Amino acid sequence: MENWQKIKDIFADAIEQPADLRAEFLRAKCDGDNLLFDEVSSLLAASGDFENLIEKNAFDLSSVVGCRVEDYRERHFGKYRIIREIGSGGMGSVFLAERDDGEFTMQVALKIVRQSIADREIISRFRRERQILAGLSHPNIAALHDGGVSEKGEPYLAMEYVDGQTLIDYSVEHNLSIDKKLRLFLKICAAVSYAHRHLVVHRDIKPSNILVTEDREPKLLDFGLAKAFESDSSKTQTALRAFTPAYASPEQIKGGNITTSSDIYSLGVVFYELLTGTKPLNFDNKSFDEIVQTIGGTEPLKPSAVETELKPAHTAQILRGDLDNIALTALRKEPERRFKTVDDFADDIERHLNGRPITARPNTAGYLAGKFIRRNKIAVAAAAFVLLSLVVGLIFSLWQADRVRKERDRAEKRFQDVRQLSNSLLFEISPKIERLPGSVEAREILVKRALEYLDSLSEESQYDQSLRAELASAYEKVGNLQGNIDRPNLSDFAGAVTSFEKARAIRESLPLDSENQYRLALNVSLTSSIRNRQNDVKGSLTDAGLANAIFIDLTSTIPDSIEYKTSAIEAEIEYGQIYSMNNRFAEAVPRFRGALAALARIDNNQIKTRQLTAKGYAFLGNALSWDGNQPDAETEIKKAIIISESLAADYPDDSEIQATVWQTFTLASSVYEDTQPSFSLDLAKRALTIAERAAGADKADSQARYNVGRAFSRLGIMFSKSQKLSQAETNLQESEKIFNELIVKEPKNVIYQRDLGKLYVRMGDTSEKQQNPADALLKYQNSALIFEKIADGDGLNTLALRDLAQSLKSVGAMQIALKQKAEAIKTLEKAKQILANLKAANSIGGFDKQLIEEVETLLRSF
Amino acid sequence: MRLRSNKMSAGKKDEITLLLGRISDGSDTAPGKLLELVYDDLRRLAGAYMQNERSDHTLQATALVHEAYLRLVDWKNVSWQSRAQFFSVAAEVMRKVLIDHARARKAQKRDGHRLVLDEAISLPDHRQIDMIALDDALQNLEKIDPRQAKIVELRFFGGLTIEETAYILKLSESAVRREWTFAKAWFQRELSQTDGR
Repeated sequence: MENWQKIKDIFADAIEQPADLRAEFLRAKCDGDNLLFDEVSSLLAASGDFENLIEKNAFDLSSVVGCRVEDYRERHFGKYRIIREIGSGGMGSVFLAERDDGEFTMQVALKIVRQSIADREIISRFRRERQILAGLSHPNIAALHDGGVSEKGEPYLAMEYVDGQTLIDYSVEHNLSIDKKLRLFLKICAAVSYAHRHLVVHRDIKPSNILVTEDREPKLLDFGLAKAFESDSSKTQTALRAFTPAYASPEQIKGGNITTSSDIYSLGVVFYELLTGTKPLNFDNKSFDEIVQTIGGTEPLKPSAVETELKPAHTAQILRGDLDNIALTALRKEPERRFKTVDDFADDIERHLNGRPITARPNTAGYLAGKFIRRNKIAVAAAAFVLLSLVVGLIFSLWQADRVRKERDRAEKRFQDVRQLSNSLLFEISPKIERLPGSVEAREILVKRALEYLDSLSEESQYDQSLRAELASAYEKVGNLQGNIDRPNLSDFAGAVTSFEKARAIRESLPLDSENQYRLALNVSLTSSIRNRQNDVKGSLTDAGLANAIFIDLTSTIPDSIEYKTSAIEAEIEYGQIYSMNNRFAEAVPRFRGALAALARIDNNQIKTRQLTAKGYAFLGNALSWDGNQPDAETEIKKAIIISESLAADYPDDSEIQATVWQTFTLASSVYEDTQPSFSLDLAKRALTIAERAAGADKADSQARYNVGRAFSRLGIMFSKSQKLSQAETNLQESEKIFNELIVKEPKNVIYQRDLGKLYVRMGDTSEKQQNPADALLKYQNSALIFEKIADGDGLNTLALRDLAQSLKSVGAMQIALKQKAEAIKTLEKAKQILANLKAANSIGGFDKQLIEEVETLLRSF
Repeated sequence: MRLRSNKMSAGKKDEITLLLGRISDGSDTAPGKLLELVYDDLRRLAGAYMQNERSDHTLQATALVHEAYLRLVDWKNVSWQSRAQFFSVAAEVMRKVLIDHARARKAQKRDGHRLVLDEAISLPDHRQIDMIALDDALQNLEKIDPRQAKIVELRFFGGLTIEETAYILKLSESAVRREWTFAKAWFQRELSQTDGR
């Protein structure tokens, strides 16, 4: 159905319209297309059917499976008659029900607990808790009217029926301003505070438990129920109940004591999500144990620093300061450091609304330093403080204030010591070991320690400009160690981007003098390269463009600085390489040529200039070759080889230089693959020697290991070309092993995946030569799957798409060889379509035009 | 939740957990193997639910799939992504189980076997649904819009919530909600057309 997407779009718009306006709306949208009109109107009509067939899940349809299952409809629970189901979850179902005992009628939400959960112990606890909950009466708490246990033993609760939307849905749909959100949140606080005063802890505060009615009254549901139904296996419950325990406090997730402070934390998560549209911590792809660790150890970003598409640009400004501090205070890991009561939390929000100073403070020096002192005594004292303050609040807090003051004086000194230490680690020790092969492990420890210091310092640095500049440099340093691919690095690209972004945020807030501007440009340029490694093509190109703009501005203001100029050229080369890696050679080649011309003008024979020149020629040759311009490609890459050879001889122990040399040889081997196979093989062997040496020197250096894998694969390719098929197979398998190893280690690094995909193409080629089309088909299919996955991850990734088309062509050819005609046509048509799309997007090189022809020739063979 | 005695060997649990890991790493054979491996267990579990072993118990795919997960997977040690994979496969199995069941019943009727007693108390007419027709419709949808079909499979057969579905398919909740609203209308229309004829 070609119109499918259109039908879907119009349907989605139409269903948003009031029912009586839909027909008119539809007519306008369909613009005389009667078929379309009929199609959508019949769907709209069907959507209005009272009981939708697939609304319930398959197992609830007892008539389908022909067995008797419990049918709640028609059943009575005490005085209540069920009307319809309104929700279900891990514990049981919720129904809309009506009280009809003749006294009066009232609608309630009837919660029925699944029998399998309700064992004897739970039922008795449930009865105890019910007494307490029934005593709660507050306008913003959904009241518990009644409850009991049915004759069949299912516990049930009759609660106030609230017709409303969940908090987040409501605020998004009504596009609430920050101000209105805060006022809404205050009402929620009032409800929780009321419950706390009645000694009831909610334990499961989350947006889906907070409904907002038409007249903007929030109502909290399920107060204390989590406790009422708690079983011994509370962790199992967590697994059953929530997909991610996003709102659980550290003490809750660790199975510690749950107090009113746990509710404050959960409220903090809700507060954060309400303001920023995202949750403070990210649990994607984390195992349960990792989530426990994250909740216990990772500090959330400040709300103002959160980037979301939903958030209007000026929001960050509103959030910065007060609201940041309020949110982070509620979300502190240690219960005793959060707001002491919900009222304190609410108070600060009110102060903020009234423009008065708030009490929540960023982490203080006293606290940070305290972390380095033995904290046990303080922790005990603080815990005791929470308890005692309920009884003798005033006296105790005076004592505490005095204690804090003394501690603070001592802490200030500690703070300065820490600052000095982290500076020394990063700027004195790190450069000394950076260029030594084999130092990755040491740097890993260094990075970890430094980040710990930095994150704690950055909280404190808000008002100290020189400290902030220092911090930005430090974060960048760490980012380099984590993932600057031009140096030995830890291949922690995600971590690197985070570090660079932290630094960028700081730099942007500092005065833009030339030094800061320069650092900012370097930062953005590096972030761009790293993003490219992560398959974030769009982000990568945006950053590259931005870096370029900053550099142009900088080098035109200060034209004499060689350092600025060199860096600007390096950024330009990286920019070109991103285009080249994404198959956009027409945009890549001029950048390389421009950079090389600028390098020629500098002409100072410095190591950096020489290195960049080698790199520029190597990338240029590579791009030209892919673009189908073989003669020029060879001319340019030849220059890269000559410079690289002399660099290798001049700096045998410099791992950065060796990496560049390896890169030149590898790219050159590929360029000469068809025209000079024996030279190409020789280059591949030299690349392997360099890579193995570096990898041997530094076992933890993923980049070095990767280079070895690439070198093996190049060797395999060249053996395959020269018909030495068993040697080819051995080398390719060696390479496959390494890539797989690396992918396990860094599943998100798309470079490894891409190379594995390419490797499978080569393995397929080899199998094909061994007259084994079935095996070749398998290998090609493997490669197609990998490229498909990469392209899926980023629709902009034209390179992955062209790789996919190439794999599909080979798959198709094998299917023809194996007489799978129908499949072959399907495969080849798909390849053709992808190539046509690429062509339409103007994203195709000369090499690919040949590919298009090959696909068409194959298709014509039918 | 009280489970019946856990007969499954530790080895199998390990194997399932391992397969989930391999799916996350992009292995293309692992999903099929996983399906094979958990099919029997899920079918048995579903059978137990269906045969009314626990008479005073509402039958829900949600509970069943969650229970299966806790029983079959070393869930403390797998990532949330693997968990999502499991639910995705489970929904597929559930679909198969139910369709097989519906076909078997149809055949039974045709062969003149006695009708199951409890059919007498089936739900009011408008809740009747022809599972086989539904599966046909779903197969059609798979061809037109595989993603939407997957959403239906996860929601209808896996009993997953909008939130969980969004998580598994890496879509926003609003996108899933939009697709689901459309899918509901589409099925409603397709199936009532079939009924009419």
